[in-house]
Amino acid sequence: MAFTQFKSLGDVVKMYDLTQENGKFINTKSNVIVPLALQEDITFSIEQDGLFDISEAAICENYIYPVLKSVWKPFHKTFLLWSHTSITADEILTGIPDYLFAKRTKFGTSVVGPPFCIAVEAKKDNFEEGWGQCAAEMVAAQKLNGNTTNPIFGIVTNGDKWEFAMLEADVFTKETGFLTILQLEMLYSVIHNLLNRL
Amino acid sequence: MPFTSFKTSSQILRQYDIQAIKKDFIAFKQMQAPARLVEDIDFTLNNVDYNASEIAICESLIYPVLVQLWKPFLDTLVLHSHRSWQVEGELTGIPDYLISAASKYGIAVIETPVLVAVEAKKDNFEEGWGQCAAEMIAAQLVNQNKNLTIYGIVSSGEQWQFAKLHQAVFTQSVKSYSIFELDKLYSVLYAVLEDCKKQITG
Repeated sequence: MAFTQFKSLGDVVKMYDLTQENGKFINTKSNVIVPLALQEDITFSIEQDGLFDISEAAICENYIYPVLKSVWKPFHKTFLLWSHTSITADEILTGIPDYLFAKRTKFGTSVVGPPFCIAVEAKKDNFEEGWGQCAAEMVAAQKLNGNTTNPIFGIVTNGDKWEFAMLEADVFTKETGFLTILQLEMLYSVIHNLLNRL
Repeated sequence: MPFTSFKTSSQILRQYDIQAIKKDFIAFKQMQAPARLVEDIDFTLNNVDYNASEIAICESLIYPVLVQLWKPFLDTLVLHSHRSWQVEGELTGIPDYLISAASKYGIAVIETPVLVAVEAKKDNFEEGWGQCAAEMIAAQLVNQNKNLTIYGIVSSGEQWQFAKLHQAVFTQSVKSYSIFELDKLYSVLYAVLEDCKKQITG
């Protein structure tokens, strides 16, 4: 098994006996300013009229990674952002999350610390599969953290549309609604506030 | 055959009867990389474990450099990332990066490819050049004009190597350039893109 074998959120909540709820947990309060460089980059990407939606890699390079990296920068002394690095919680929960945020450990950039936020690129805009994969990675993250009290956050995005979820103990809360890349200020604040909770 | 099936450049150069020489061929004038690129790359080199994955190398080092360099040439050149490319059923695959002429058909077609860039998987430059040479030959086949120079880049993120294909001669640069000397790398890439543009606009 691997993360990619979970094809929907339902697959994960059934297998791990989670309670699934819809709710509102993201904090859209904006007390940070989007760095100018990111604003310019994202505007530039949008202006290229679909050129950057042609491949999954281009979506990661032009939308997802620049946003995550920019939000991460002020936190880089405490957390690390890992890109396409494998994690393994057990023989089923193993694979390569697209992105994860983890606390820095004394091993620096040589060992992935326990992740607390996972981001998945929705391949071919398939959010259902994206959430299957992301939820499985969030359960793995919870196991790697060795406790169920700290919330684990999940993001599924196709670059344009961004959805959020939280796993706290055995409750999986899916944020109702979504944000788009056109709401960059709010999107930036929401992810910033997630990192800031820790 | 897929581009990745060529494990060395000599394998494909022999197949297409192309002469290989080693010579520094890029004349460049020293420029300064844009401040924001310098800042971004500096942050990455100091804080990101970019060697954690091939994708990390692409998105944190290779792509940011290429996209900044492409910006001054937006009117004439198009930068494609990881787009699948089939050349008359013969050579096929997904070049990591490809630069072509802006087409009147928009982004739907890859017209007049003039540069390909390959990420050296696991720092294996020999295999990287096998793949890159195959993509350069594919570009020449598409263009049906051997007088058009096709540029090739193989990069590990840290180290960047260059080659060009003109008529039936594949010239590989002796020197390689480093991300740790960003101004020089930027200058070399700028000279290459400038020539790509010149070839396209005539």
